Amino acid sequence: MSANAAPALAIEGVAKSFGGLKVLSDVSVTLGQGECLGLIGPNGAGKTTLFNIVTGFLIPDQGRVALAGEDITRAKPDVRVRAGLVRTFQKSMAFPELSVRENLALAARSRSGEGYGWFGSRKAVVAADEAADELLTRAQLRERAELPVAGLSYGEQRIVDVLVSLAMRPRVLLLDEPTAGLSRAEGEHLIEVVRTLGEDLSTILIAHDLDIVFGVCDRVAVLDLGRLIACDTPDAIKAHEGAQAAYLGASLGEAA
Amino acid sequence: MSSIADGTGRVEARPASERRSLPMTAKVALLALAAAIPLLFAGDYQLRFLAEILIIGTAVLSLDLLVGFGGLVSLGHAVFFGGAAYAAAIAAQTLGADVVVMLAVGIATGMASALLMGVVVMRTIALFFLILSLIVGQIVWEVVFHWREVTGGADGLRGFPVLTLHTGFATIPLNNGVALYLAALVLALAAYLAARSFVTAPIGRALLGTRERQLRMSALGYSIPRIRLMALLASGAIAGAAGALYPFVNQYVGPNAVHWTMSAMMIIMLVIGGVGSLYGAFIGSAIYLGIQTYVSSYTDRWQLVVGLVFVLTVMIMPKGVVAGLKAAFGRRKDAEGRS
Ligand SMILES: Nc1ncnc2c1ncn2[C@@H]1O[C@H](COP(=O)(O)OP(=O)(O)OP(=O)(O)O)[C@@H](O)[C@H]1O
Ligand SMILES: [Mg+2]
Repeated sequence: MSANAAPALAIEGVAKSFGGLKVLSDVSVTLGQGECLGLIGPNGAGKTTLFNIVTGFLIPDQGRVALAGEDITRAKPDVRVRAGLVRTFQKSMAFPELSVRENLALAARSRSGEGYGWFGSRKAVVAADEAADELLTRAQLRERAELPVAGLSYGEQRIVDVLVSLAMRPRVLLLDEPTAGLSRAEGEHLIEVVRTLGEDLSTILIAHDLDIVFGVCDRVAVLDLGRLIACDTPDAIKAHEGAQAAYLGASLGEAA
Repeated sequence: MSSIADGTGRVEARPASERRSLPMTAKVALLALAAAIPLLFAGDYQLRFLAEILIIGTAVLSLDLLVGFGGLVSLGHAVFFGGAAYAAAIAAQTLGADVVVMLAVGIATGMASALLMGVVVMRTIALFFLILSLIVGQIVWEVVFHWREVTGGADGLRGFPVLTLHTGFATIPLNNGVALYLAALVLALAAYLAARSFVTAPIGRALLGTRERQLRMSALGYSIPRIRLMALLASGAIAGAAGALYPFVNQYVGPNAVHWTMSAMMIIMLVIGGVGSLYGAFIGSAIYLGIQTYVSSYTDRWQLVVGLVFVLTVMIMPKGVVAGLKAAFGRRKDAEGRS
């Protein structure tokens, strides 16, 4: 990173409470250009809440969020998406009755600005379908294009979720437990798809599978009870006592 | 919804294209035939009645865009339709009643009302949309009811110049049953094709997405207010076009045309005909107005009959009469096939 280039994403002093429940307190993290940052922490640590704040589904009580140097703390979710900040959800959000292709095309049309077209949008529809098919081909799911998403295996559905987000050609991609419920091999395949199809992508990856996080991420942030207790290279995190404690005896050192 | 999503939605006046699949050609021919039959057998009164069914059916069609595809149940839809009817009736008194001018006035009024409605209700959801649209509708009704000099107040407006169509070489008066029926038919067909192209286009897919999963659509970068506003404008334009012709069928427009009960009637028609099917709007309009016109000559309790039909439809054929009948016959055929 050159000295004056802004980080892909900067989270500064973010705090959030629900009623009396303090879910995030003073969380600051930056994501470098092209970096993959792991985000780990026990259930209820506030990982998803942090994603919700970064993507605009929640407004923080304090702190700010900047995308490539630009303040987006109060921008609407769709505005952030069009600025290149895209997320996936912990639970699949694909439209189950729509075909795989249409799910991807819906995203591609949004990205190309043709999502609101009425008359004369035939070309845009075809272009979005082609973009969808190309992604599906590269992910070796082309023969699934016509199936409704509900007709896919769970593992395939998770990959479709990721492909939908890639169809929006993000600059920053936030993945919320994309590998949860997948076998080791499936999880690795999914990460491989993200790495090969998402060029010039900066990523934050939430996962409970520490092998995957330590294996693919440049740095790892550890969240516990809403506080960022560490953010460092995988090796440093494995040796970090606070991080060890947060995982209640799960030995981070043995992972990976 | 798949029946709408997969077609190309193009129907031509002459179903002569060789490339078109037979069922489509047959459908169009049947439709043309069905449309032509009344011209041979129906009298002036019946043709005017059919025109009314088609015009109100077109307004219901526009409501289907909001309800069936956007999940937006509006109790203010009569404002788009009735507002346009008043605007056309008032404009006709000074501008004359050229059908193209009337349609332009109606469409502009429908879209303006939709814009107003959109600004007021845009950020709300489901139940609030219903209630806010009702309030907007009531405000408009109050204005119409009390602004006697312009709207005729409770009496409404009567006696307009003859609706005319200027072709290049001749001016055709649209003041008899045949002409009004044909005009309403063209309106209904054009509105159906426009609505169909809307729901198959990206905007229609996006609208359907907002009905199913708003959060998802935001995460896909879609602005939900923008999608809904576009749907409201399209709906308002179609309802407005229908409203523009309405006063000329019976030479009358009254405050009932903007009353919330008119909106409620449209919702009932839509449910009877089939929400989300588009064509169901016309079926529902025909059933409702048919009961209203023919049963009311036997009993004052015709609304009871409508209520009964409504309840039966919801219970037995929740997807509307046509879909219900299709399913029933399909099942019987299946059963025969198996035995
Ligand atoms: N909208 C909300 N209203 C109230 N409490 C909430 C809300 N969203 C999250 N919480 C609470 O905030 C805490 C953090 O939740 P969050 O979903 O961010 O955790 P997480 O780290 O993603 O956990 P997991 O690993 O289980 O997904 C939890 O105690 C949760 O119950
Ligand atoms: Mg979570």
